[in-house]
Amino acid sequence: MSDRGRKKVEKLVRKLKEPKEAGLHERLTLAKERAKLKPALIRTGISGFDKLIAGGGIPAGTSVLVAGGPGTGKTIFCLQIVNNAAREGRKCFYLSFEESPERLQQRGIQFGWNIGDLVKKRALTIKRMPPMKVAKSVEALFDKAAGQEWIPVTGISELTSKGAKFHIVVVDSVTALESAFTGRPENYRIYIEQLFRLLERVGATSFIVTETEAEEKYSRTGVEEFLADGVIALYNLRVKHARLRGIEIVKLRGGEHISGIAPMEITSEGIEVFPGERFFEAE
Amino acid sequence: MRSSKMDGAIAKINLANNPIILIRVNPSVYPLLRWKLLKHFKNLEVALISLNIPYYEIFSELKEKRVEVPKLFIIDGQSPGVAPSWLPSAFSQGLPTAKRTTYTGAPGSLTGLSIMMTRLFARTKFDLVILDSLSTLLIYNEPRQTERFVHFLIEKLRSSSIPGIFIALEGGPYSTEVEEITQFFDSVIQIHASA
Repeated sequence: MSDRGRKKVEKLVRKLKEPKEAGLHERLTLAKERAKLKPALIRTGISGFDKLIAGGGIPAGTSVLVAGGPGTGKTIFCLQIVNNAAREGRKCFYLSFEESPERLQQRGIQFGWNIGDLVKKRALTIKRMPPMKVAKSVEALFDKAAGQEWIPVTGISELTSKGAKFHIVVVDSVTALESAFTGRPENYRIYIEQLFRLLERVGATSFIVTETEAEEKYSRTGVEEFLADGVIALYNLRVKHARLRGIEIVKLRGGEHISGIAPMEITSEGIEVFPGERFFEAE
Repeated sequence: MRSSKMDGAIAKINLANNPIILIRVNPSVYPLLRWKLLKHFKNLEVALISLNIPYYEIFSELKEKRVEVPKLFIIDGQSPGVAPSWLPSAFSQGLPTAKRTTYTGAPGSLTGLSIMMTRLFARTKFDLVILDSLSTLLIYNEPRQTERFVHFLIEKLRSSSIPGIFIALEGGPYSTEVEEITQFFDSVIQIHASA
């Protein structure tokens, strides 16, 4: 939101409070100016998911935590978003702390997504960073800058390099990274904070994957869900002898959304969300 | 003679006036009801949710009775056809893939069944949905869950302007639960043993 835009709205609001001045023209101008101040929305293109959010998308430039237990579909969710966005001409960056670019491409093939082609066309950049290497270099930086609570985020210069303008960034997953910071959890927390700040500076809409062990806890340390603008939780609920998949927008700053868990399926074409459906077995 | 009253009851069904109907049928004449309903509505685009009998038995029964149902679509909650093709045929029983048939898994998967209906309604404009049967749903699910599911399905049918016929067995262990669900229907038809 620009200062100029904000000041214009404030001036109009002041004017409208004075009955003599409150004309139709001012009211229309105020509505238009307010609409301009609303952030643009990023459509994920995941069938049914965007319907969970007012306006049909995630506010651009926000950082969203994608949390869930193993096998809930976190990577598929992120891969589907970058596949849809890159195909529409938006530049995407996928930072993987776990799977190799080849493995992610293979995953895409399973759902009919030509990830390799998007990489070739430079619509999508996939970078793999071994978590141990990151942890070691971060710890070395901390040792060097003893007493300081700031370190540069290393290894992802692509994001900040001149001319780079990524619309969507995925970090998959910070849990893998956290495990690498053995014995020094405070260093991980500082690194994560710097990473969130970097993503904010870059201006991209970012999706940060975390693996959770228990419900109602969306990250291992808790710092990630505090820093993120939004939290999307994925579930694989056990009901008697069956399992039901679900997705929930736990929080989303700047975006009104439907609360509660919506049923979800992973089909041969990727994730499909059913906003109007219910979990009968779990009620 | 036995089936003439059943024929009469089916002939009286008016889907325009009473689009959501419950048929309570005596177990002794229940096997007749399914194919008679399908025969009566053979010109309509019917989706049959079969939770008791697998699709191939329905097709062979209709073939035997010489009832042609080119527009029938079966949502099969009984066949082990959901078993992946790579499993030994003992699991999948080597079932042929049938056109106009889809599988929902087990009758206990209410959420899966509801999602399946949403998908099908988005793809095809059905003239009628037949659920066979409420009694089977009650065997696999808690009464309250079944009640919520039936209510939800009826609302879905009404909002899509699709008539629905729900079949339930008369008497038996779940008659009280079925009785409680009758309030959701526009009309309840009883078909007794002497039908």
